[in-house]
Amino acid sequence: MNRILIGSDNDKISVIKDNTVIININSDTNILIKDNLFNRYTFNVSNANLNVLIISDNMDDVVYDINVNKGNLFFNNIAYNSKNVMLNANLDAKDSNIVVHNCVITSKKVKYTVNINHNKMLTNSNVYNNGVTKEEGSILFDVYSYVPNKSKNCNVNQNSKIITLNDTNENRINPVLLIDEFECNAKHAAFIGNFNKDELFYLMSRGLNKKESMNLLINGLLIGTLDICFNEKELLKKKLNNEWR
Amino acid sequence: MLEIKDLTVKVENKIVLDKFNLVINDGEVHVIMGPNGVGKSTLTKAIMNEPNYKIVSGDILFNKKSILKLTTDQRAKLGIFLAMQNPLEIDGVTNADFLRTALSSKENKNINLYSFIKKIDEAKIDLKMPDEMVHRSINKGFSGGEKKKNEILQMKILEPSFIMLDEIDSGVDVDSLKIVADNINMYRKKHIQSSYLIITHYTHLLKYVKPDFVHVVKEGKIVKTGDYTLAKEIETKGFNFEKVVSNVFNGSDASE
Repeated sequence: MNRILIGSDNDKISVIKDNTVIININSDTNILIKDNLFNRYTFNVSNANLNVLIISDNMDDVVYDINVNKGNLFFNNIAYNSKNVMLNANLDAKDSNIVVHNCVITSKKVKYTVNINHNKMLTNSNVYNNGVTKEEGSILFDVYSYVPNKSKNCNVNQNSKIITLNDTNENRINPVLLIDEFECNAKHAAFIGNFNKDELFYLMSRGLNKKESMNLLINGLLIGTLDICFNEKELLKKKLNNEWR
Repeated sequence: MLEIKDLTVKVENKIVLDKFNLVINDGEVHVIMGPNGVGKSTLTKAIMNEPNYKIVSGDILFNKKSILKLTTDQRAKLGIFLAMQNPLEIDGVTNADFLRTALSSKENKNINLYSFIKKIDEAKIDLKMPDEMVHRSINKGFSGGEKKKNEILQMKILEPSFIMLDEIDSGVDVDSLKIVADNINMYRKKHIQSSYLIITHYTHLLKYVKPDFVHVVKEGKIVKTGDYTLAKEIETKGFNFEKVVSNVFNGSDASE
């Protein structure tokens, strides 16, 4: 397993061309991207498993281009106040799979766009967008999944959730499924609102006060479901606890 | 330990408990039985201050002090515990995180990781729960029996003194029920002063956890109190109160 760290203290990057980071992966790899160095990344995955964790803070106008040519890509993006983030993924061969976790906490107006193209049959995509808005923040999740004709037996899933901790009514989720093939499984779910009162009651009935309960639920929503290791989760939780309060 | 005085509780503008009275002393096991919709679960929710259950009048005393003004978490910190009929699934929050936070909150200090792991390992073994369940999201993907075991696991970790078990025996297979009951009895032995309020429709659990009192509830009130025999009678004859009451008690007054 290769481990690549992209940040100010490391130069192990495949190619940098026109301020775009191009990463070609053909063996199982973990990548951690932090420190907001670049605005465009391209991941080319071929016959491999790639797990990407991106931590961004007040980073604007970032684009992630992903091309999977057989293999699995786990894309974990945790963003604090980063706006105008776009992910474009092409599943270019059968048995190409992508799992996207966009986890956003913001006090700004932000937009996240996810485009998934199932260009070949037997490809799978799962997109999970989870966000929390506070102060003046609002989130727009635009999610497009496209299954063209002849891309048979694809599985498409979109699941987006925004928890509103402020008074905004500008949070929006646009789940779009563009399906041009009959033999396909596609589903989407979207939720905007507050935490479930029953969940709060359950946690509080064990002695956690409201703040501690909210803290656990926000951690669970944004970090708990990420496909990353335990230590990384613990580090993210510490940062998150300072962020939302 | 717990005294409920003339408690009237409203849910969605409907009176569910009507001037309800009950006294549970230290070390006692009380059972409440009754058909669906008579207010059994309402009682546990009202004691725990579930926001949808409004107390219209009456009082709830815990160790002789009213708890009506306390929030749910404050009541839990006093040692009141509710094992729920349908434990919720909470995605992303692991059992381990949840329990460690709850324990730290209860003890008002950061819990040492080693002692926490030791405690949870022991409870896990007692309940015959697989290791990974502690690191999974709360109740996520658990079977009915696993959810109920998880409630008992939480009880063992948090060590409350007054325990409400709301249909802990529903959705549990015979083997799991035996494990749950054994763990309740183990807990009773270790915490002699602990008291229990068990809500159930059947006598399955009561064969293992012997009750001191069995109460029958109808229309928001206790209409009869007896012992284990009353529960057995109900199981054979159903909730035909007049018949059951006359057969078992020969005209003795409803006691609360």
